Amino acid sequence: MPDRDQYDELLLRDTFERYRADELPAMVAPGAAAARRTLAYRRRRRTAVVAAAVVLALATGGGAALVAIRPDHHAHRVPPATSHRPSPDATSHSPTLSPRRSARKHVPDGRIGATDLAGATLDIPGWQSGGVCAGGTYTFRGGTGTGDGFDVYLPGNGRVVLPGPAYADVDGDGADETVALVACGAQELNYQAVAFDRDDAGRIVTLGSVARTPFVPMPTARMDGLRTDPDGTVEVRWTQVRELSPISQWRGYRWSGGAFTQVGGPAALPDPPVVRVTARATMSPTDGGYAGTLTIVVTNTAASQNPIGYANLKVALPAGVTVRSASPAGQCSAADGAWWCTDDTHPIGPGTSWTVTLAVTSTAPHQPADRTLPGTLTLYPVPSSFCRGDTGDTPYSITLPAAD
Amino acid sequence: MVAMALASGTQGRTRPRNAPSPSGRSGLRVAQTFEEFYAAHYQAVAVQIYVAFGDRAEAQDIAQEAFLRALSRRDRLVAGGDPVAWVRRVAWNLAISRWRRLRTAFTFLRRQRDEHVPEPSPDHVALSGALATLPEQQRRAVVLHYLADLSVADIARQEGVAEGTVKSWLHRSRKALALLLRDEAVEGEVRDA
Repeated sequence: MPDRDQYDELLLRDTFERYRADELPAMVAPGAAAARRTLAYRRRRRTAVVAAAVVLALATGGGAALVAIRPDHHAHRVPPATSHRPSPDATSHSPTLSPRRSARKHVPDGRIGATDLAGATLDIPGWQSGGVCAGGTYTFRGGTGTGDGFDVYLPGNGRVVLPGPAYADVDGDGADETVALVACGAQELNYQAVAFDRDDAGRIVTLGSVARTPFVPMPTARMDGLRTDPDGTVEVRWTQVRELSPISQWRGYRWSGGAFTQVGGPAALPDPPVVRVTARATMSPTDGGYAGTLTIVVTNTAASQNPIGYANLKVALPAGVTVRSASPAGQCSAADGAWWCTDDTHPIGPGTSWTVTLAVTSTAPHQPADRTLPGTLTLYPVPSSFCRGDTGDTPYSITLPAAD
Repeated sequence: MVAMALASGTQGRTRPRNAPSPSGRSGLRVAQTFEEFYAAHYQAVAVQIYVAFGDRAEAQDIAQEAFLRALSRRDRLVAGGDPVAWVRRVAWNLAISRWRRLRTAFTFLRRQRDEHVPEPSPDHVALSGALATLPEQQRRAVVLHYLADLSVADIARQEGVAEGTVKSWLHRSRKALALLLRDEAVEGEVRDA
């Protein structure tokens, strides 16, 4: 007596066997010869369309003119006139069409040229649900689409340099799709890689968003590279913004289950640099008070991966303390009641430091009421947008030793 | 004739259960022409698409398109891999894409068909309907296992998952399908009574 699992297994095997026995003979094949004819037909058609486009381009003075003369009312979602793909009409008369239907279709190749893309009306997934860079349908002219107070850019626009589209069979349907970088913003730019395809009528449709930069007031990343692998992986290069020597990284994405997911490369760009500032004073009694050195060290910590260009350092000295000299020479000067130091010729790399030493004197008596003299260091790293750590004011103190 | 390094043998119900899968890598040893490759595998691929998505004519179109794309890319297929698996995968993806666009998995119920196309039998509709209740990956695993006769190892390799994952898919699918098919059988008996 079979148990329930065995019974289920037998039921399924029997059901599928009967299905196969009934359907396999009934499944009429159009034939390999029909496939060959269709392929030859499509290739001839493609060649003819390309040739026609070349002739038209020459007649109108170049491909750019095709875009310029296109009337506005043609800028709706239609198969571009200069497409290298067969028109929907052409494909609907494919020789392999099944006799059971009068108008059969095949899934068109989704390769869309940069010029065609730059003049199309496209659904662009949004960076946020509303407001600036919201998702929606945008009509592009010369690679630029206009939203409510912001613009959306495709490759070929006049403002943002975006690498041209890349092509690959990202959804595994045997035909290539188009992936393009899109930028959007009113001031700060947000980036996105978007995959486009054609529907059965040859219209450009949006397959989905490959990846997009987070929508934040001060974006920390841009996308500036795009490539595809033969296996359908889309690779996008992410690059830091507002960093000296910005770091770039390639991240891979695959279409799976109706959306793109990351399959390779780092998950995030490196964190911004973390800077630290310390001050150490060594003082000795003199005839008129105290003398010594104040050593200030600015460190770009080892946790950082980016250098900082340089640091502007303001040294507010304690009352009664004056600077006699500073080293390295030429890096510090007095202004507005404080000392200012900078070295804008040597970036401070991760794990390295910049040190200045001030020779100081104090007129404090040898038996001061308080031997700890407070001061303030103020650090302005450059670039400063994302540096963390001891930016701004950091208190320090000079301790006077007890006199004999 | 363009020679293709394609799997030999016919995918069919007569193959012993423990025989090497014709679509597995072990089957890649005999060079076939495209015509032979097509003749050996077209119907099996079309039936797999039909049972999973429920429209015979669409399944025929999709299978034809998948083989056509194999023909146009035969250089890549010759270079390596499993051509049958490639065609099957392309067909599945075409079907998924097309049915998503149509926003329904079973368009035959609403579409006008020519008169000479036979109505699908109630059993076949029931099987397609039951399959439609499964998640996409489970549905594909079931069809590959029970209709394409692929082993768990073959499916795992094609889907890029562990064999245990495939076993889990099949176990869950078997329980879900059996429940639906048993109910359908009971209803059929009541109708026939």
